Amino acid sequence: MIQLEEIDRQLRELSETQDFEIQHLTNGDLSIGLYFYSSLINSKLIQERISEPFSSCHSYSEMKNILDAELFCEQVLDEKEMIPKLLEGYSLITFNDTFFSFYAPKVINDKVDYAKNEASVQGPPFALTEDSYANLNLIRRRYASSNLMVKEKEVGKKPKAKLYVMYDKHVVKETVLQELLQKIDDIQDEFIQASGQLENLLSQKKFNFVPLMLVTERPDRIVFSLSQGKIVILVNGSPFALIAPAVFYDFMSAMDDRYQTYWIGIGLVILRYISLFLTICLPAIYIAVISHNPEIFQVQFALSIAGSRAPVPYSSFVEVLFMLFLIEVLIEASIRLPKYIGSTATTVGGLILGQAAQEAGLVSSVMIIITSTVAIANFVVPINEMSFAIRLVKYPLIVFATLFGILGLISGAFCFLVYLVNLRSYGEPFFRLQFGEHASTNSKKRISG
Amino acid sequence: MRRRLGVLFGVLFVLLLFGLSGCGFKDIDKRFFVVAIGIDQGKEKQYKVSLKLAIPTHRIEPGHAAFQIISQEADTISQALELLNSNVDKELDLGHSKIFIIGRNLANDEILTTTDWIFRGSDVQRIEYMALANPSAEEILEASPRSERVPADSLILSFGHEKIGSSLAVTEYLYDFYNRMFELGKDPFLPVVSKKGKSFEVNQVALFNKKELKMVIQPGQTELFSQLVRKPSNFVVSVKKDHLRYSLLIQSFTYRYQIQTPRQQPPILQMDIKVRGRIQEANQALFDKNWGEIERIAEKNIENRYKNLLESMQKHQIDPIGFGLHYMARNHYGKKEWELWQEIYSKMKFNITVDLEIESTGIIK
Amino acid sequence: MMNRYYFYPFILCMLVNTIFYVPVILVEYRFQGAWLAILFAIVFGSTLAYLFTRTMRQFPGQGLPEIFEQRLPVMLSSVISFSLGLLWIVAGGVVLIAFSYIAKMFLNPSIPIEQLLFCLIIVSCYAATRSTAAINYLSEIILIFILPIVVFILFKALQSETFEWNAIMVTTEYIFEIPSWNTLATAMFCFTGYMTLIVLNRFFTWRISLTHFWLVPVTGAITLVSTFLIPIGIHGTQAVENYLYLWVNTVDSLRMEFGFIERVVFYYLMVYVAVSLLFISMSWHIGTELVSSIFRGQSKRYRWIIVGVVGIATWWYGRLTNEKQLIMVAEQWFMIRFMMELLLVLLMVLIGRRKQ
Repeated sequence: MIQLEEIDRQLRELSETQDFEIQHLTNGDLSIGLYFYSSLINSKLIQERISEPFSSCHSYSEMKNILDAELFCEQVLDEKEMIPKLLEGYSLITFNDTFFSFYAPKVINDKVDYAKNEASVQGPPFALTEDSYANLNLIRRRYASSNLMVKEKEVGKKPKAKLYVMYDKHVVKETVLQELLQKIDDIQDEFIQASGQLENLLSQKKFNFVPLMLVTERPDRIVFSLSQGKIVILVNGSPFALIAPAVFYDFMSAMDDRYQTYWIGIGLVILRYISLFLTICLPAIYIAVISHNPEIFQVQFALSIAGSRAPVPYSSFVEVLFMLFLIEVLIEASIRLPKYIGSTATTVGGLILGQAAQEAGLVSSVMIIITSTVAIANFVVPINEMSFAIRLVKYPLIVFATLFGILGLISGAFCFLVYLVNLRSYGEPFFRLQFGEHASTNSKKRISG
Repeated sequence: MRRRLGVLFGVLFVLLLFGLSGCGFKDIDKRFFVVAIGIDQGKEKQYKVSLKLAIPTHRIEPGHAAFQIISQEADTISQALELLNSNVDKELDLGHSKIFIIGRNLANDEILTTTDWIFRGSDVQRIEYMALANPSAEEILEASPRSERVPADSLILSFGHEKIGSSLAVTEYLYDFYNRMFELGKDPFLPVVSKKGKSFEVNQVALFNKKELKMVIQPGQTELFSQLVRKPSNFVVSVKKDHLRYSLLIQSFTYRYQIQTPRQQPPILQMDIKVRGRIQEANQALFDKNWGEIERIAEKNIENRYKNLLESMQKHQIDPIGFGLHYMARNHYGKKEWELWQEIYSKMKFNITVDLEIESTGIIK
Repeated sequence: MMNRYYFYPFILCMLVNTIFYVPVILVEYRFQGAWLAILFAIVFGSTLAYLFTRTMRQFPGQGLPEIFEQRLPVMLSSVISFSLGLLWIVAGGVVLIAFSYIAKMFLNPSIPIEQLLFCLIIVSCYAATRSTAAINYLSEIILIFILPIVVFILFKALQSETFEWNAIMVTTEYIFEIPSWNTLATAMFCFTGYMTLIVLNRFFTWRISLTHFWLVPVTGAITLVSTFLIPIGIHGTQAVENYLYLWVNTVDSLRMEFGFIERVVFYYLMVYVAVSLLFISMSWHIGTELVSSIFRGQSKRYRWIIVGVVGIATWWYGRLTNEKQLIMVAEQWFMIRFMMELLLVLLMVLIGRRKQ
């Protein structure tokens, strides 16, 4: 049985904050008390559903009937439920020593907006929102199947974060699901706000630098992954979803590939892999060719590079590191800056600085071309997470190339491949070629991953 | 704690590795690219090595090929190179050297010893062109035609196949010369580069037996020779008989041969040549004439010229076309094959038939 | 389709033979039975491979140590595992040292050999300690990139304007010379890919299908004949034996006029950095797995210790040795491998019979 003193004490405690509202309504015959956070509650809803019927009520049973018949209104039977419910957007109605909770949330951030991080040409233009209910709505509307399961989970210490784990119960791999749920339960003492953060907590290895779960904001990608038997995790308050298991190819494919004709899709994927190669290897190739094996390319090319490098006093790897540092700073700055200043920063940094650095004899003109190629090619990777990870890979290769030239470059690339190939994302080999066999992550045959 | 130590060790390791570098690390602007190597007989010492160095420039324009020639005399080539290396301010890089020229005086019986350095070295390309210089390698290296974009470009291009239509230059590569120096039944040759004004010309071929220079093919026969040993390119045949004079541009050239050894008769080399060509100039209208007759005149002409070439090579007992290898590939008499062939070659008769086909008379009759 | 992983070790062994002095040795005996050795190798090699695979596929998902565990006394199985492990470790070491000589000659003339060895050893040790599945995936990705380039190089060599078919015809005169055991053992190396099954069979948790087994003799024949004949076609019958780095020099005799890189040799060298690393990683992986099986220790630490010892030993030997010695070691290795392989296949066939 509910303890009235305890509730009274709790409510008094809650009323210390200014946005907690306590209202007593009377209509002559009856009186009820209303308790809610004014910042979380849609007062119009309360007015319509509670106070208006109440004003025309004359007996206890009549009012109870109204409340019982109301959707999203139920009696509170445990005082411990009370505070979490108030925090979720319920209002508490006391009425003749019984307590009802009425769900009347005010949700502002459930407006569906255009996808910003994973724009698409032909795909559906809208992205997830910050509100999980809205997201669930978006997903279930697309994935019209009763096999779609949603599991609600709470993780972390106080305040707890709410997760929704979604999967198609017919195609999901049961072992992977159990492993993932276990991992979620094991998470402690962190306050989770973003999907990427959750991913870090879920990942098996401490020192990971390639993401093993996919973060996306596109409902069409989520639905597609669900149909492949993957598991999708939504974090309340985050407009991104986590997808596991993920393989390398998922990070390299945009949803657009699927909406184009076959050869265009294949061509785009190949284009991306070439860009990936360029962004990883180009600085290292430059160093290897300039400083160790200048006989590789044609003599004209060697002479013109040597000519353009003539005023540069530093050795090639200093030049490369200097220029790459500048471009990294530029990228980082333009992400954080407001949109309007951002474009100014790129202009100043990219155009003027590059030109000036070359004229000042700090870097060669070929280096400017290489730096910009590296930066542009890096952005071709469709998933941001991977594009950030790839930014890092070129530095170890630069070390290898500085030390051992072409031999080092290939050894370094070999190491990176070995690293990728050895990774597993929830039992799925992360990086390997697939043809022919059942593709668990993609319906088309694919190049790699 | 352990993790941090790991990271620390990682960083230290990378720093250590950077410390290791510096041995092989040499920036491109700290190197001198040797584009051509020349070797002559020295005046005081045994050899004189000359190198053509390319000077890097920002812009590459025709006529502005900046180069520098350095030369040094020493008793061995490697010694000379070492001295040269200490004389210039940057390191010499042989990786881009495209042509190796030997002075005419060195084409004696010690040519294999002279060139041993270049065959042994790993920093020189195997596909380097080889040529004989007339009169000396140094003078050839100094020549620089005005159209040159990159030092020694024109010299290199006159051998390469990018320049289509050059029939006079026969290419010889380092590895192929080395091959021919040892191969039984296939003798080495080298194109001869001779100086002409500020430029040079490549229109002779020097033929060697395994030891020394035996004969030099003159311009009139070089193109014929080049058709036999290398991939065919265009060449011009001028014919004159009675009142008829005309020139043919040969565009397609194929040949095959057979070595016949009938008993009690001298061995015969039966060579069938098939050519197709276009008339380039003539002193009269040819279109309405009997092409068969016109063709026959040219056929006779080509036949005779080939016969002369082959017979003169036979006279010197040299075989750059590889008749001997051809014979040994098809006859299996074990080890004494080689002696057998030498006997056959000295007695051989050449029977050449040319089948010429005129494709057109140009755009006028 | 997963069956394709069965063929990668074969291809890898065929590719690596140009580094492993196989063509040098074969060319040396070009007038003394190399032809017949190649012919015998194709027949015997594929027969052995077929027999061995047929036995191994009766034990899906099991490596040699697991198969021996219940069927042989512990001592015997330990000795066999250890000696086979050592055999593979030495193979990796020889290729590593041989390739570092090539790198020193043609890629980084001014870097001391110690550092080149160090670079290759660190990378190979890292790769060798990865999982068996990872090694399989890795070989697939690398081979897919490399094979087109290798085929292109072969094609380019046949197209060379100085390629002399007559020189090849001259060697055919000696086609019926009886080869020495040595030559035969060397030629057989091309088919040794099936030996990797002693460990890689753990990856094959299904019954390996032999429907495409004909690929093994066919590719083996193509590889052996081309690695043996193309150098002769380009360098002639006599000069060919003077070259120490036969294939590097053969490829350096090719020019690609309109290519991004003009000298074909650089394509070859770049491809072979990857091929050698892959081969070393695979052979050391097999070696460490076999040796660590003796200690019944499946922990990662054991493997790291073994690989570390192997790495240091290779580095030490690489500093001391020279090319002349290395070729001799390679020749000895071929002989020992040949005999061990025969015995192993015999043993496995017996075990397989008994199981049925």
